[in-house]
Amino acid sequence: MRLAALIVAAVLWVGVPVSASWTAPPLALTAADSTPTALGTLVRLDGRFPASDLVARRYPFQVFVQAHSDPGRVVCFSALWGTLSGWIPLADEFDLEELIALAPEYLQPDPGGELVYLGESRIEVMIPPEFPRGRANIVLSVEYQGAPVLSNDLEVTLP
Amino acid sequence: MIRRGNGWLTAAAFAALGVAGPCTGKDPAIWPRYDDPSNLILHGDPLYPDPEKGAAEIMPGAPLILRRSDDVLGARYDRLIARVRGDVDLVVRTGAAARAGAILPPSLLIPGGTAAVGVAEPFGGGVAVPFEAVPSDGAGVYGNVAVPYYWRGLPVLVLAFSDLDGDGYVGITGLDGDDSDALLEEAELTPTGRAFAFGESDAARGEIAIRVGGPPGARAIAALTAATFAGPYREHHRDGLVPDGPVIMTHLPFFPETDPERLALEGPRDPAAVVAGSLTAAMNVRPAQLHFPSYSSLGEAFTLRLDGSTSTIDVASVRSGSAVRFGLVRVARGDRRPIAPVRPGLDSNGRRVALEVLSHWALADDGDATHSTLQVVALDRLGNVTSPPPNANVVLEVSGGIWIASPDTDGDPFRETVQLRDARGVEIELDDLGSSWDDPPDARVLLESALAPTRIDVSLGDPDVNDSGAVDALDLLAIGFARETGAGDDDFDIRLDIDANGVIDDADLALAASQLGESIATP
Repeated sequence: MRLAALIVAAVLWVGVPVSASWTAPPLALTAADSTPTALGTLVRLDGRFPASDLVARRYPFQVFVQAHSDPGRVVCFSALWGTLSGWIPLADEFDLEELIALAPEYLQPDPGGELVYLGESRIEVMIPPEFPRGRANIVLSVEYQGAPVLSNDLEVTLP
Repeated sequence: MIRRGNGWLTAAAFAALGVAGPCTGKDPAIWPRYDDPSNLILHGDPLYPDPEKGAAEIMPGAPLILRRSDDVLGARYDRLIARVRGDVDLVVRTGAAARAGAILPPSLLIPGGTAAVGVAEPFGGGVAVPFEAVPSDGAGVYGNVAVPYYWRGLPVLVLAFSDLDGDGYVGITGLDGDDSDALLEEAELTPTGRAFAFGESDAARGEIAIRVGGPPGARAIAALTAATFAGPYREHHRDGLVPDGPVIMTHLPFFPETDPERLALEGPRDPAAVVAGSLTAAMNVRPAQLHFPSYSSLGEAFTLRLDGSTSTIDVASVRSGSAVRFGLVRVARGDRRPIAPVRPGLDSNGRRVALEVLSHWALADDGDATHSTLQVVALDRLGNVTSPPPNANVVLEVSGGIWIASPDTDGDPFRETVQLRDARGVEIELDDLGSSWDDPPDARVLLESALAPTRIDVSLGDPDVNDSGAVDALDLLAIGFARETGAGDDDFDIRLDIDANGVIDDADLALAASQLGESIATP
C-alpha cells in the first residue's frame, strides 16, 4: 500500500495519468554514434533512462553491447558490477532478455571498458579495445519487479 | 525542459495582467481561514473563495494566486491576491529539524553551524545529504512541529536546486544586482536531486544525492526544498492511493503545478516519463508560474536565499567527484542562453563562474573575425568540473574546418598538448579555417589523455542552412519556423543558429535575409 501510494503520488507529480502500466521505468534510445580513439572506441548514447535513480543508488541498470559478427560476444556496463565482457554460449533461439539474464554468469570484469559520462539524457561508454569491430547492437536494461525491462535497441558501427 | 518561450510569455502576461487587473482580495484579517485545530499544518491558512476547494495552495511568503475561469494555473487572467500571503507549513533541514517541538533555524544560522557536505558521484558512490522534513504550525519564523493525524506514511518529496552562477541565490533574481542574467538563472530551476521520504512520528527523514558539484574554490551550494499532499488517505479519493488534501510546500524557486487533474491533462503522456520500482520515484516538477522579480507583488518571493534567510529550506555544499576524463567548457554569460549543462567552476583567473560543459557547440563561421575562447578542464562522471590528476597532459586534436589559434607550442594548428595543474584548466582559442561562410564540413574536437577520451562536435553555421548552394526563401522559412527554439529544446537545430548564440531568433533571420540570393559554397 505504501509503495503503491508513493508510485501513484509520483505519477501525479510527474504528470502522467495513473495506471500500473505507466510505472515502467523510462528506457529509450534515440541516437548512438561512435568515435575511434587511442584508448578504444567511445560510444555516445542519447535517450531516456532513470538518471536520478542512477545518481542516487546502485540501480539495477545496464548498457548492453552485442557484436553482430559474433552475437555471443557482449560487453555490459552495469551500475551494479562495473564493466563486464566476454562470450555467452547461445542456443539457436535466443532473445536479448535471455542474453542479459545470462550475463552475470558468463562475463568477467573488464578494466578496458568504462562508463565515462552519465547525464540527464546522455550516456558515454568506452568500449574495450578487444571487443570486435564492426556493427553492434546496443540496448539499455533495468531490472524491474524482478524481471528485465529493455529499451529499444540501436545499431552502431564500431570502427 | 522548461519551454522558455511559453514560460516567459506566461510570466509576462501574468505580471502585466496582474498589475492591470482589479485586485478584489479581501482584507487579510477577514479573508476566510481554515479553522480545523486538529489539522495544525493548515489551521489559519487562507481558503480559496470556493469553499469546496478548501485550504489554498500557497508558498510561504508568496501571494495567493487564483486560477480564473479557465482553471489553468499559469495561464492568462490568473489573479494575484497580494495581501494574502502563505505561511510556513513545511520545513526541511539537513540535520535535526526540531528540538523540544520547536523547529530549528537553517544550519547556517545555528551557532557554529556549517552547510552539510555532499559529493557528486553516480550509482550511490557519492555522499548523499541527510535531511529531515517536518510539518509546521507556521507560528513565528519557522513554527513548531505540528504533526497531523495523517502524517505517518505520508510521502514527502524533497528536491535540490543548485546555485549554478554562484550569486548566493537559486532562481531568477535581481538580488544579485544583475537584472540581465535571467537566461542563465533559468537553468537553476531544474532540480539537481530528488528523493522521497515517508512521514514518521515527527518528521520525514531520508538522504538526497545531488548531481551538481563543484571543484575546490568553486563551491556548489544546493537548496533543499520539499512538498507533499496535506491530507489523509481516503477510499473515495483516487482509490485511496493519494492523500486527500492540498499541496503544502517549502519555498521553491517557482510555483509548481499542483492540480493532479491538470497534471494528468497537461503532463507528458509518454510512459517513459515515469520511474518506479525504487523509492526515489520519478518526479518532474513543472513550473506553473515562473518567477518575475520585476513585478512588485511577486517580488523575490520565489528566490531561494542561500544564507539561511529563506526560513523553510536548508543548504548543502556539494563537491564534484573524481576526474574520469577531460572536456571543453566556456564561461556562461547571463545574457546568453546556455547551450550545454551548466556547472560551477573557475575561469582561467580562478574566479568562481558558471561554466557550460560542451558536447556540441556552434562556432561562428566568420573567418578571422572572431575566435572562441574555451577552457580544457577535468570532468567527473556526472559532467562536473573537478581537479585533474597530477601532471595531467591532454592532447587536443581538431578536424573538419577549425584550427587551434592558441596555444601553439609545436607549429601544428590541428594538434596541441596542454598540461592541467588545477581545476582552472587551460585556456585555448579555436577558430574556423578560411573565410566567412565558406561552409566547411562540420568539425570536431577530440581530447585524449590517460583518462577516457572526449569528443565535442562543432557546427559552423551559415545562412544557406539547407546547403543548397545559395541563400533562398527555403532557408528563411526554415529559420522562421524554428524561431524561439533554443539550446536544450528537443527541436533545437543548431545549424539554424547562424550567429551561434544558442537561440534561433530574429538576428538569425535578419542575417539570412541580408544574404538572400547570395551563393555559398556547399561542403
